Amino acid sequence: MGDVRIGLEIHVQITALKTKLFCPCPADYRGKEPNSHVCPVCLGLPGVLPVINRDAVKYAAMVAIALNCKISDRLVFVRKHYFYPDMPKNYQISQYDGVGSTPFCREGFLKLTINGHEKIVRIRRINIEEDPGRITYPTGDIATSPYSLIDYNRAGIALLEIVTEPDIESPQEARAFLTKLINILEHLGVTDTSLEGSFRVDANISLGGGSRVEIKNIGSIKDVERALAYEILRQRTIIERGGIVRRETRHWDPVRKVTITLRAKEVEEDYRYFPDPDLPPVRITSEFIVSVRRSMPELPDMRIERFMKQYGLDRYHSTVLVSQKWLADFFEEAAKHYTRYKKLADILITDFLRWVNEYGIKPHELRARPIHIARLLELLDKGLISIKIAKEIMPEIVRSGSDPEKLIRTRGLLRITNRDELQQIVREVMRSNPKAVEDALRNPRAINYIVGLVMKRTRGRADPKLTIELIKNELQRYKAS
Amino acid sequence: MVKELGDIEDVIRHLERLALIKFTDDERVKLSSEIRKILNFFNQLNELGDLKDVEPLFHVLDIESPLRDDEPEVCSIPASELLSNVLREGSYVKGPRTVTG
Amino acid sequence: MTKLDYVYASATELLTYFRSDPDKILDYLEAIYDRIRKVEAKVRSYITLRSREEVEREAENVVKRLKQGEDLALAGIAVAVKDNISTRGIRTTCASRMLENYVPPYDATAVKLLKESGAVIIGKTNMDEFAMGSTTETSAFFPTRNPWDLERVPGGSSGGSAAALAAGEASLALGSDTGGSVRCPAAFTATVGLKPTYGLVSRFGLIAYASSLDQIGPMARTIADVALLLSVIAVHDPKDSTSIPRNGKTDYYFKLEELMSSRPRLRIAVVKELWRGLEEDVERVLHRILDRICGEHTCDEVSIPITRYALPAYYIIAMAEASSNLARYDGLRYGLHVDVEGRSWIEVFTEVRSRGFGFEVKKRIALGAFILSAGYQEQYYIRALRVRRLLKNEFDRVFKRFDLVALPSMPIKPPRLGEAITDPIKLYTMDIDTVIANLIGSPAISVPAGLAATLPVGIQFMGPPLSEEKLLYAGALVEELRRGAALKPPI
Repeated sequence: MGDVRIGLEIHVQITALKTKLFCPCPADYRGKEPNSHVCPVCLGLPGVLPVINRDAVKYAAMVAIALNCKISDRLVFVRKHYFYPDMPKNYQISQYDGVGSTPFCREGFLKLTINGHEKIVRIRRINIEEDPGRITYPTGDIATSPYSLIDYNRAGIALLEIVTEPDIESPQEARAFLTKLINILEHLGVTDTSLEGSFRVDANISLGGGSRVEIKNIGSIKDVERALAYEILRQRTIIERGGIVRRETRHWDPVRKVTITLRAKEVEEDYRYFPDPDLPPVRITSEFIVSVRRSMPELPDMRIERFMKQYGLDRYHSTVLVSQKWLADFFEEAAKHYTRYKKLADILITDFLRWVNEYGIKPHELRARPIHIARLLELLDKGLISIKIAKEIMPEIVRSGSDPEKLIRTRGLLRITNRDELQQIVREVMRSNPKAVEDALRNPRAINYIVGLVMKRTRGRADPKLTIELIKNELQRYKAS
Repeated sequence: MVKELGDIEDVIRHLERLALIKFTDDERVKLSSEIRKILNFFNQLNELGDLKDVEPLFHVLDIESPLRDDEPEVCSIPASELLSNVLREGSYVKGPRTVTG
Repeated sequence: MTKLDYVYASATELLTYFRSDPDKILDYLEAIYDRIRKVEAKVRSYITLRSREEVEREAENVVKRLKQGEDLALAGIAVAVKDNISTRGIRTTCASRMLENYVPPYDATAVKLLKESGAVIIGKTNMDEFAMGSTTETSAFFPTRNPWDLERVPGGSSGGSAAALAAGEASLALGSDTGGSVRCPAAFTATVGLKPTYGLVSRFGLIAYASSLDQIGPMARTIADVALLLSVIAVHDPKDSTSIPRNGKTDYYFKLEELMSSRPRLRIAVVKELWRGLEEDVERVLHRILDRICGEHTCDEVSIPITRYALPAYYIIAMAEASSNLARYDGLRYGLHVDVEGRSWIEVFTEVRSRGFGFEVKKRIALGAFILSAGYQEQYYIRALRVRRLLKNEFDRVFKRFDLVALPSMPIKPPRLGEAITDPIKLYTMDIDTVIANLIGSPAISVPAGLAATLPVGIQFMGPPLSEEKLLYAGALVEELRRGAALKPPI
């Protein structure tokens, strides 16, 4: 697959912001009544003017630093012209590399580790720009609806456009890149990608130096991987049959899992960029960058190192935990209550994560609290439950967020360590299994069978050591009689 | 380098698509004569020769855009007034089809 | 005061009068409405005139505030506002079919400041469509006539505002100036028009033509009144990112009085290239005034050859920005709209824009798109901006040695209706002396210099950024020289 070249253009909303990019309208538009989060500015009414949100610049600078980019010494906005019903001004305030303008940052890179070897994906540029509104259709289908419905609540939300060089060589690499990118964005607190529509990808792909095909508007990492795999197969088939891949823009259909040609362009694509006369450039000083750098939270790579040092974890455990910000946070919270960190990390990345994935629980929906896992491990350490029970109740903890201690008590799952209680059970089991007793009297190794019977009877709750001791005592009594 | 203007009719058609404007036949006649005149008028600037070393002046003032604090302000204008003269369906703005043909 | 006294009184006089007797405001407004009823059918300054009852109700409130001892800078003064400045609840059309029924849901900052100072907006004035023109003839609704000669244009694009002042239909007015749109009609109607330094008056709510050139400008019949109005509207606005940061307000009226009593000697540059090609009688009037000014002040001739490229540079920049600013008119959110059902967006947008805009606007949008398009942008747009830089550099040099530049406002007398708009280059050439101030961000003022036969001629002063005080002072000197020569139109 050495001939595949993929470049990604990622649009992420800066969901950390409370207001839009150029007006103070609240940015939490999701689930709100259409056209309720709008003002003259984001509706592009005649006569309005934009005013830049400072924090948008701050967050953009953070991302730039995290992606090792050079930040421009001036912040310049341009107008990018194209007509569309979701565009209030029929131009988008964006950034561009041209006369009198510059992207906010350029020439960065992101280092990945894929199957143990290192891979560098270069970042071409990062732009700050505004999101358009949202279009829906009365019949739910673009093709059959006689008209469209427009909601401008999203119009003016701050976006970052992150563009890579075509350094990615496979769908798997694309996935690894995006996973790491999202993890960085989440560690920075810039974007909550669990929010619908906060993360969109356009992918460029070419095979063997052939024409570049662009796949527009893919909504998830999984779909990026699928769309690219599909597209590689499609292009390879064309080439193998002696055909030529056309340069075009395609659309990923996530339901049918195919890419399809977008209709041929009917409108001229000539964006006529020029610096927005309403927004004089802002000098970006080194003091500003230093202050942003200082206010930056820890990045994933640093966090992995810290996990190894602070918690004594190995690189594998640290990397798995930190690969998802919420999981790393969960671990650190639990570690405040439970200090056998290795054991904690183990149970989190095996049993716990398995059930989170099994149930498809999104991080923000998770009801299990870190202290629950800490308590569960404590119960285990104190010998109050068996590992089998711990594994048994994990799905319940993950799904409902129940306190393990309560769960165990109400369900009567505590280990039976009471001598009298267990003695009674042992006696009953032996009385009703005279054959097994006979065997055990003859062959001491057959005692395990009786242990198994006791465990079966107590659903694993019997303390194993005590059980053996009691069985041995009983056998002595049998011998004696 | 000066790019030559092609056939004037082609230029007008191109501009109509670019600006989503249609000229009537009468306007088109008037426009084709005026475009040449106006572009000749603009081409006077070519007399100044090479200006590559002169920085274009985009912003006449030496001021910077202010940066606004990220503090939300709910617009006090009622939606009915903000979108008063508009085709609506419920709270949505009613728009045309987004596919052509 | 008699009714005619009221309508031609200066705002300064009126304010003194109202302060001692606030109830007179209502008499004054009655006089204004009577005057409008008498002359409006001939002049046609207004696109939208507010109802007398509504204005009176507002005025009664102003009277109350005055009586309660509030200090209102423009208490009760009738102001005409150009129809490209947004007024909440009052339709704002830009003299275009596109916005014929558009009622803004917000006030422009300048309008908000007017209201706070107790001014009463009397109506919205006619203009060239989207301010594209110098005669007020490209208005989609009707042309405005010059009160000095009803066969002639009042200039433009703020022709309605100027005509309203000249005809006594308002005491103060707001215009907007992108390449001379305040100064041209001021010159043609013997009124005073100031184009402030770019960034002095907020553009928030001014419907954009060319954003890097547009400024709202105060218009009045006297220099003092312009100073008064400027003091009210020249305030820093956080909603306009091109608004010059500063603290508080400047009292230009007070500064003007100070200068008039200290009478400093001005150093005035006469740029010889800008005094060529004038109509003969216009030139005579201008030289008569200039010679007298130069008798008392220091005048020197300078040469700035690059000025001959100002006009094409200006039109390139203005059209480019216009094509961008006017892209938003697609009929979905406001303005002219058509049936959308079953039709594609391209079809709908094209129909709205073709029906909504007049020819001059469509032409400038199309040419602007061309100027910015791939392959032509460097040749036209970027080149024009380089010329703009050269021009600014030259004038920066001049302003190191001089306080002001004196130049004609208009090279010609007001043309007859239909005379100027037949030839685009001839029309554009009218702006030859006014576009420079917009290109370099400088303030400039047009002051009545006298009459050429029966038609007004204006003289223009231009200074470095934020030299408004000196411009007003120079204007006041001209006004002083003209004393006795009443400049009231025959209407």
